[in-house]
Amino acid sequence: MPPKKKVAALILKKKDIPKLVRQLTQVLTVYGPVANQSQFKFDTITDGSQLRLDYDTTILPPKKFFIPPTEDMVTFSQSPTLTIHDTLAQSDIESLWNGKRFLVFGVHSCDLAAIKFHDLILTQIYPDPYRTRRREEGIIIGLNCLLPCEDSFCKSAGTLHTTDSADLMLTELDNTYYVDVLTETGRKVVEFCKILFSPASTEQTKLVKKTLTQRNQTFPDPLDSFEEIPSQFDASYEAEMWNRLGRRCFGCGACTMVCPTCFCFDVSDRVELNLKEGARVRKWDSCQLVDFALVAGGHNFRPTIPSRVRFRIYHKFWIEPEQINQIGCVGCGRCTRACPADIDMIELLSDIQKGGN
Amino acid sequence: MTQSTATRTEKNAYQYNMARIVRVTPQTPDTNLYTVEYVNKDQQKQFNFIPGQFMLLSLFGHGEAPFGICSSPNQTGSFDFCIRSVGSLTNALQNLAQDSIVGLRGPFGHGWPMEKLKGKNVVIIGGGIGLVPLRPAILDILENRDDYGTLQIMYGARCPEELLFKDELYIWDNRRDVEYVATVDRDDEHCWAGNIGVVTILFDRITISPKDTYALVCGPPIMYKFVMRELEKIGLPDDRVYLSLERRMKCGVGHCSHCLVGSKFVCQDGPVFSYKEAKTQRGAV
Repeated sequence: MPPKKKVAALILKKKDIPKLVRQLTQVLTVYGPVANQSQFKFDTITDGSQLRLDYDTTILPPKKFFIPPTEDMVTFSQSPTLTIHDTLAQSDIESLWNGKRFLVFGVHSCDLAAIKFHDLILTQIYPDPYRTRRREEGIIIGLNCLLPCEDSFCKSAGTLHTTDSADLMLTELDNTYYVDVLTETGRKVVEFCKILFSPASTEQTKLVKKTLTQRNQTFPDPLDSFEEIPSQFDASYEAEMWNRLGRRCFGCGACTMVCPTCFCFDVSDRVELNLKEGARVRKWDSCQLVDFALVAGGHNFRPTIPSRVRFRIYHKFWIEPEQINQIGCVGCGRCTRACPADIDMIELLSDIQKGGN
Repeated sequence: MTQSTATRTEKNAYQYNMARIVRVTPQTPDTNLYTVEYVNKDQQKQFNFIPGQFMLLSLFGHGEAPFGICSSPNQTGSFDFCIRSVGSLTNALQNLAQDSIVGLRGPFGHGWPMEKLKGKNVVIIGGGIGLVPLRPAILDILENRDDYGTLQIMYGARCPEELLFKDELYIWDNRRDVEYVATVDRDDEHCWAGNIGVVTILFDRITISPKDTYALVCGPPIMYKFVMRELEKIGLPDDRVYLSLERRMKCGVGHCSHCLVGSKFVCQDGPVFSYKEAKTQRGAV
């Protein structure tokens, strides 16, 4: 929802970030990028000094806050009789202070685009009630990337300039952040911490525009006509490239675990040691694993690694465009970085563009 | 499409409704017919489904899986599932005492095109446990026999012991208004006087006229390609051939993506597709 009244752009001093975090953590759970050995990850922030807004990319995307790796859908108890408790409790999302809301700080454009993508793909038939609730509870502060990260192709994928799904959007400007207020929730956050924000000057607005225009020109653009890939995919369906990739791929599923747009899940029951209580648990699944398309009786619809490697690309670059008219890849490059067999998404996609042989 | 609005409601599609197992009727050594009724009497009264639709059945602690509804849509007071024990959930089901409680979600998906079949000839081709989702269509046609043209049923099982609903097969075989043919893949016990071979050999035992005829097909994945070839030979157009697809399913409502066939969700867009539609989706048949 856009802000009820238009809010002019604001300025937040970098040195005030710890104060902002301190104030927000009083009422919300705050997540943000933190260092994790040589890499970065999104984690709980209790102190502003932990925030690393200079991060390039994170191991896992912020998807994990909206679709957790594992999640109890219902809990059940068999004693004395079967009772079921739905974990989908209602919360009052109008209030920032209800104790259930959370805020994700510093989300890059590729990940913002992926969150928006999930908003569409997971509501095509029925809205996914579990994600929908978390999405309503979550507040997102976006952050414009000014430097490209390795292996990414966000400019080709058209997600470089996305602000979709952000409530506030930050752009670094010397020792300040330039803040665009994009939603009513964003306005409430600013209002809650208003002492830390000051109006942006016309010069600052001009400077941000110039910075972003320059950024748009200098970012790498390794794939021409990315949006043509769905129509080119058909021609490569039977091509040799899938056997070639299948021989390299270990079938580990790492690419799907780190992917911001992957959302497939498995459901199974967890039973406590007393055998009376338990939960129905939904957890991330991967189409790269051997039993993903296995049915009772033993028939497997995708029994080989090449068929599964192809399916991941088929889903993102053909099925999803058919379903919601959007490619299911935002160009973040995480799959390339996570792949132990060094399968490079840019290379793979340009192979499709060349007909797949 | 009234069917899709009936299944796509706004209520939480993950909500379970409790049902009681009122009767277990063994069919084969590993397959039982489970007759269930909703614990909530009003819910049972309001229950209706289209032949070919499925539900997700839960045993809390053992999991959840999709099963085709197996009873006549005209049956009141209860409904049936016919389930073979092949995994942990289905094995646990087999060990359940009568009056045990199971959770149900659904009915989901698109069933057989019963409205289109009115006044037409119907050929039903079932392989193995694939007879289960076809049975509601067969029973509905038999219970409203005057509304339809000829009814031909072709049924194949692995061996004579695995034939389901044997008492009904006997009745179908003896009805004058039903042409019923069956086959078994093998007869190690030498207890079978009928056809031996896969279901497609039955195309030599029966004459199917393509005029005003619809075919409903359900069986193991391997069966479709061969049956479709035979139906094409007869000259049955693709839009009058319907098949029910089986895929792994975890949610039933188009989220988990296990059941994707091309851009279609078997759980919501299927499980019944016309062959014309299925052909456009890679890997469907």
